[in-house]
Amino acid sequence: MSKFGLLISNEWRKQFKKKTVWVFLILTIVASLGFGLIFGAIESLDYDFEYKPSTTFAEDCDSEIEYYQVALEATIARKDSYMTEEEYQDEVDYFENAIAQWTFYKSLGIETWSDWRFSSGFAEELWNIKDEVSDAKFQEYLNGFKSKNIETYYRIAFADDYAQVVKDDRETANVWFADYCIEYNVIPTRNDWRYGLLLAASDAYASALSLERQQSLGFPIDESTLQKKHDAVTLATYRVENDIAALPSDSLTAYMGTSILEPYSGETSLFWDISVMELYLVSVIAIFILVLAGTIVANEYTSGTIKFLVLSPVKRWKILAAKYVTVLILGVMLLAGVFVSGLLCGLIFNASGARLVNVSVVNGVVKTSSPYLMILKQYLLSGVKILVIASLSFALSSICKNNALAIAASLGCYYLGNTILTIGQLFRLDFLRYSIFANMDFSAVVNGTTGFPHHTLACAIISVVLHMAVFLLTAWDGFTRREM
Amino acid sequence: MDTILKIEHLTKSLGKREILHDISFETYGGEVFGFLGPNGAGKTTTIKVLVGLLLLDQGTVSICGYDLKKDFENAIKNVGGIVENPEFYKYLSGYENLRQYAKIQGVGEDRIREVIHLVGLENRINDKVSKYSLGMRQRLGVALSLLHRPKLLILDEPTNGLDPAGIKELRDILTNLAHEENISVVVSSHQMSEMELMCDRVGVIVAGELKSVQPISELVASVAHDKCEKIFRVDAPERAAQILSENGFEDVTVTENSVNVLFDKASEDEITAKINRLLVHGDISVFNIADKENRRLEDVFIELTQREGGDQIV
Repeated sequence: MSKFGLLISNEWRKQFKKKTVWVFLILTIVASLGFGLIFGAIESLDYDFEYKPSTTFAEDCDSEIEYYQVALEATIARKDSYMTEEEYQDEVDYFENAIAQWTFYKSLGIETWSDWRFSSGFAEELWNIKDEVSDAKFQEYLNGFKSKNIETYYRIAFADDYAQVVKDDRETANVWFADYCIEYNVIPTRNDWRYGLLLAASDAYASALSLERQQSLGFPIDESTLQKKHDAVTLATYRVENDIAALPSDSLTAYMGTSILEPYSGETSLFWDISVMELYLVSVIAIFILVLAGTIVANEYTSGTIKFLVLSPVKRWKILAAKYVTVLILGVMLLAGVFVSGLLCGLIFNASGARLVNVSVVNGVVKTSSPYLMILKQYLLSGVKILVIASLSFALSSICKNNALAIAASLGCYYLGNTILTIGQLFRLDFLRYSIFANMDFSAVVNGTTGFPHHTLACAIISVVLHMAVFLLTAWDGFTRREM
Repeated sequence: MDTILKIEHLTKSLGKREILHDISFETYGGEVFGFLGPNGAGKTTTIKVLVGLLLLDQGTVSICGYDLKKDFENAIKNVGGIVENPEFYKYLSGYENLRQYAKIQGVGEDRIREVIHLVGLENRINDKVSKYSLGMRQRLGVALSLLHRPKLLILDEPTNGLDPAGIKELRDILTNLAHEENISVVVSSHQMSEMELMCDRVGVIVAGELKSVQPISELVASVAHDKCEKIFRVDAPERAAQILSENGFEDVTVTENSVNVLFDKASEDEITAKINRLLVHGDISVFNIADKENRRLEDVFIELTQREGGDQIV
């Protein structure tokens, strides 16, 4: 083995002879497995839960009718107490109307409350237009209702939009939505994932139309926003046409709050939900890695063993590099451990999710990609933050020979970085955009949630690289030049 | 004899203070070299420079012909040593500590067993270092320094914390290493009696300057054999001292009930008689005249350093 390898294996042995290291490793494994299992169990329970009423829809209609009947009789009995005849008549009409309405519902042949024809408001629409359309037309609608004809529902629900000769953006989008749903037989209920997805897509459709119209009128618009709206519509229709209920990226965007279809609350896959939730544990790993980076050099000074290290025929920078690499390896191992336990827990609760493929649309082109790589990328992105702060911790520990200072400062930077940014933004300190706090969280930069406008990934990468260079050079300088 | 360590014009400052000033000496294979000096004279600083813990400002240090500054890895390969206290990873066993170092040095299991045997730690080598006494840590330190068969072994106060039997054992180990395996051993210590028994040559460092480098026998002889000191027990030491200094005696020390006089050994009897006469004529009662005994390396050392004004810590 090369000398560098030997140095690393030495560091490794030293770390793994410490009880605290073992305790932390075991805690991490227990935490990541436990977190995944508990999360998976709770979500699975939710999925199995279904409300089962003890009565049928017809029985409930009867009790509604009975309720209004009693109310009507009471009103008639108290006729004298009404100030005017009109007031009394209004009350009687209201109750009679209600009784008629529920009698009508009962006659429709709905069996359960969760029947989409009731929950979507189809039955109510039908009641509302009863007196407005001709009997023949109404009979046609009624037949449509009874045969669960979806087209009838959309025609009635979006009747106003269809009726407009000159349609505005919203109306055009609604008609597009209704037509599309009719074509693909989308049942108007949240139980059909396509409904929520297309509903959200119709919003994007409307926004796209509005943007295009602004553009045609000569107003400047953000091309990329327009493209995103188009992409959202393309992706939604692609999913409907190819019957892709859940996407791994939906789990991720739901977690990060960055869905391109904002009101969409469609299906996510539990397998990927668990993997994404495990990302929270990265902060736990961070504690360990920061402590390790802050102690691995400083402890040699505190215990005086640094003398033996530098007395060996090895260049000092190699000793330092071996320590840094040891921290990196342990960090990557822990990240991988959390990643793998997320996948394991996912397999236990939702094995079918493991076969999902991710589909995305970029600039109008549909692309499929491996969700494993996508999640892995998230882990690595959160790893960047740890890497940067661990380097800081390492540098401080190397120049100050003091592990307490290094640990306190680095934990502070890791967990309070966003607070510092928020306070800075209160005072409009825009230069903070160049600070390490604003740049180390790559996923926030990509999603534009750092709070600084026009913050690009390239700028973040340059800032991080520069900071890392300063940290590592400081560590190197402190260790190789220091006289002991 | 091969020159193992060669120091030329070594100068070292820490901050504004010059700790070492123009130090030059050589050590050879097969000898134990004693490095003597009062506290703060620069012993440890010199050793730290030799093992690469401190960088030298001026001058050159070469070990087995390799320049310490230009060819650090090759030079330091030939050095083993303990600086200040022997420190280890307390949560590792003695054996694990040795293994850590053995790996970097490219030394095998056999050699580890060998050095453990050499320092007599076999029974406790698998205990954690946190359970070791200072003496055991000293032994482990020596074992660790010897792992890679260095040509130059540097030990900073190695007898600290060792019991008398341990000191004798260590002395035997070190003299054996030097004389049998032709290693150059450099030992710093203020156990002067130990040094006299252990060292072949001695370098005396005072206030950052190397005063002399000579065989131990010469050093003792140079000071001790041309001077002698007599103790005159008298009733009035102060007055006695005054009388003696009026008559040209320079090295007079006053104690509670005596004056001690240092003079040339060549005319010992005449001068003793002369002093006695002077005192009696000065109306001082002389109760007893005695030789100050055990005048060995320790006194020589104090003599050497104090004469140079080295009793002040610089």
